[in-house]
Amino acid sequence: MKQTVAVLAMNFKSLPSRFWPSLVVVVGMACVVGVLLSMMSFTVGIVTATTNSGDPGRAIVLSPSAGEEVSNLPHSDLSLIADAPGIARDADGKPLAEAEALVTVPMVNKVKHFDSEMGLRGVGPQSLKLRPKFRLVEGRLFQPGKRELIVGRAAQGQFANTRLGDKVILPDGEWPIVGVFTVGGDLNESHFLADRDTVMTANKIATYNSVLVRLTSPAAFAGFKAALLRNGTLQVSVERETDYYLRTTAQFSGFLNAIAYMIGGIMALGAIFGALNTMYAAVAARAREIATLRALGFGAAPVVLSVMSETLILCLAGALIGACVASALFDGNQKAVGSNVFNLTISPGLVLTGIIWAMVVGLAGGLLPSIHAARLSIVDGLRAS
Amino acid sequence: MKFLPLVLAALARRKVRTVLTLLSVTVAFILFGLMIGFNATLEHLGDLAHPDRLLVQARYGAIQLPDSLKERIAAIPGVTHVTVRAFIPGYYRDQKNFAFVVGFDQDAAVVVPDAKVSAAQYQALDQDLTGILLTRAYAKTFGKKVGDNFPFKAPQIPRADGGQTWNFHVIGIMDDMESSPGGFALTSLKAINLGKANSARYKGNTFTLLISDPAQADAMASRIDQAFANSGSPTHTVTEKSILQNAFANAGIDIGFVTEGVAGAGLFMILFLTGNGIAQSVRERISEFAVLKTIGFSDGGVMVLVVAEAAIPCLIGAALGVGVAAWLAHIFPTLLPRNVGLPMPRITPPVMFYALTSAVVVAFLSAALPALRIARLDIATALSGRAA
Repeated sequence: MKQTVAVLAMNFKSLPSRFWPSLVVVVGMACVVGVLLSMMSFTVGIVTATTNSGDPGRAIVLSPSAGEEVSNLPHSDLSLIADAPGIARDADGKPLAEAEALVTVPMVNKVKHFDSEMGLRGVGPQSLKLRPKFRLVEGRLFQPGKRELIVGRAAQGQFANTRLGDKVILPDGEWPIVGVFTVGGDLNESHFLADRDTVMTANKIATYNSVLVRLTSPAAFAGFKAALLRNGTLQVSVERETDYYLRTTAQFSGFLNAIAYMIGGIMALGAIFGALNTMYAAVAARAREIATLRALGFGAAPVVLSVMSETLILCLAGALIGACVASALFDGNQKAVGSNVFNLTISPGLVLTGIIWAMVVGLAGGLLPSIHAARLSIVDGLRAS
Repeated sequence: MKFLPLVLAALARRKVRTVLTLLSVTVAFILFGLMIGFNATLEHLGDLAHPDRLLVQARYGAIQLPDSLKERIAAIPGVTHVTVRAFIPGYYRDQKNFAFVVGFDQDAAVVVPDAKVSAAQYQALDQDLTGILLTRAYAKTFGKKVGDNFPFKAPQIPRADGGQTWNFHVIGIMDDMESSPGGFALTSLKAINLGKANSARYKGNTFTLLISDPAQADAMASRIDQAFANSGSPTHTVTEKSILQNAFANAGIDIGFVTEGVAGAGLFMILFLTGNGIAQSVRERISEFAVLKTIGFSDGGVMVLVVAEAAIPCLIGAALGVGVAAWLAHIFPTLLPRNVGLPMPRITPPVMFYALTSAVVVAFLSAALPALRIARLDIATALSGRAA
């Protein structure tokens, strides 16, 4: 133990003399972690926004095995669903269950000027009570029955023609934007909200897309779901809202992560060769020192440990630099994927992923050189220049 | 050429270092090849887009266009041919096996000649409402030959018989279409319309059209949209050229920035490595360089030696890396699940040239300081061993 401490201390004191070679490992690692984290900030951002959107205390009812955009529920379903057990009630005793419509509106992305689209959610009287994080931050709410929109704060960052007072062209004419809202980083903040029945009339649709309910408690979900599935007149699928959002983004985020891992993996391989190169050189430069220690009776283990820890420390430093650069460049940048707006996010968990990658590269790049160091012939080492 | 043995001897002196440097450079250029090769693929796909071809789709997802719009689009001055294209989203047998099934009317023979389907084949499809053609790629993916059944499940489309399954049978194999290497299955518009429930027939499709003057493509797109702006079926017309660009833009990915950023990060990573390697090598051989200068090598001569020592692993690594990238691009499609329609990188001659130029730049940058040091080396100091 004492030997190890002594060797480590000596080791790190001599690091500055190997500044440039050590920089190779640090820069290499910084590039690997920087690229990996930048790419994964995309997935973390979209997963964070998705997670914010779901509430384990809410359930979403759709037509069987469908996403919300293609789901359709007849009008009669709303009262059947609202009668099910496990639904919370508002102060007036009305069930917190509401049918919603979701349509798309062609818009132009103002950041890169391409044709895109925004979601327009038609909501009913209970919808805002179902979303306690909803806040109106500018203007006023749309009036029921009127052709008026309110727009999410996040959408304003990405889409042109979304300021208070702007007019949006819908199939039945121009709708003014009368308010701006936030909803706690929810993906709904990338949408327009308006009166459901007016939206449905304008888009000539006769069926709802979804029914959202607030459960009396997250645990009430199983009973609620079972009751709906038992009801012979309903043809629906029921999901906890959190599960629904995770399911609908899983494929996209999984695909992006796979690409990030592939690119990160190739770069890490390059970094391993770089670390091997540097550490073999470091061992060669310290050959005389290591041989002296061994001649004095130091064991092989402290030597192995000293080379390994040098590699790991250099890799760690690189990983932290890479994480800092990636954070400075991308963390918090707003992105729009289709009609969903979210922020690129470099979370502490993601930084930890970067550090784990660095440790793996460090272990792979340091192991052979450290064993080589421990096996150096003492006699040859002492003769080294 | 007389320098070559000297350079090779220098490289052979520290074999481990040379090999590891070569491997790092190779890895960096595998990444470079994949990234820049992907850019080349996108450029190629962009070139395949027909400048005189436009796509008309519904402006609002909820308001479907009726098939009868075809005649009205065709009547717009400047439009020469129009075909209606239907698409049924679904899968073959299992949800994992997503497949593109499209149906065209017979005018597609003129509007989409690159689909390599003859007028006779379109006619055959029109006559056999359960008939389907598969591209070679699809026939291979799904293991089908002419005469086989191709049951296709499309839960989102209400069928006339109340079910979800379209029982197609393969009546022919068509050549792959260059712009969709992943493949697709083709039936007739008629088959799709008649297969659907009454409420869903003759609407919800898109239109592909040709215009007489490709230079007017953007103007024609707005002219078509204006014509239907205040009708019951507003349209959104796009040029084929803009579809690919918009696909990436709408995925939130600035693809050029990503590919070049990653390739650049890889090169930056090895720049330090090769730079450090060559500096170390020169430092170890100061006295040798002094001897070379003593026996008459010019300053330029020794600089060439240093640059060449840096350039050889860079160039070999670049060539190997790009080669491995090409091989990976070749085997990737067999490793990916078949519903991932990601275009593969293309290692074209410009990509190779770009890689080799980059390798030369990396070599020069990493050798610059050591080479200057050697050129300015004072022989007496170096030979006395005081220059380290």
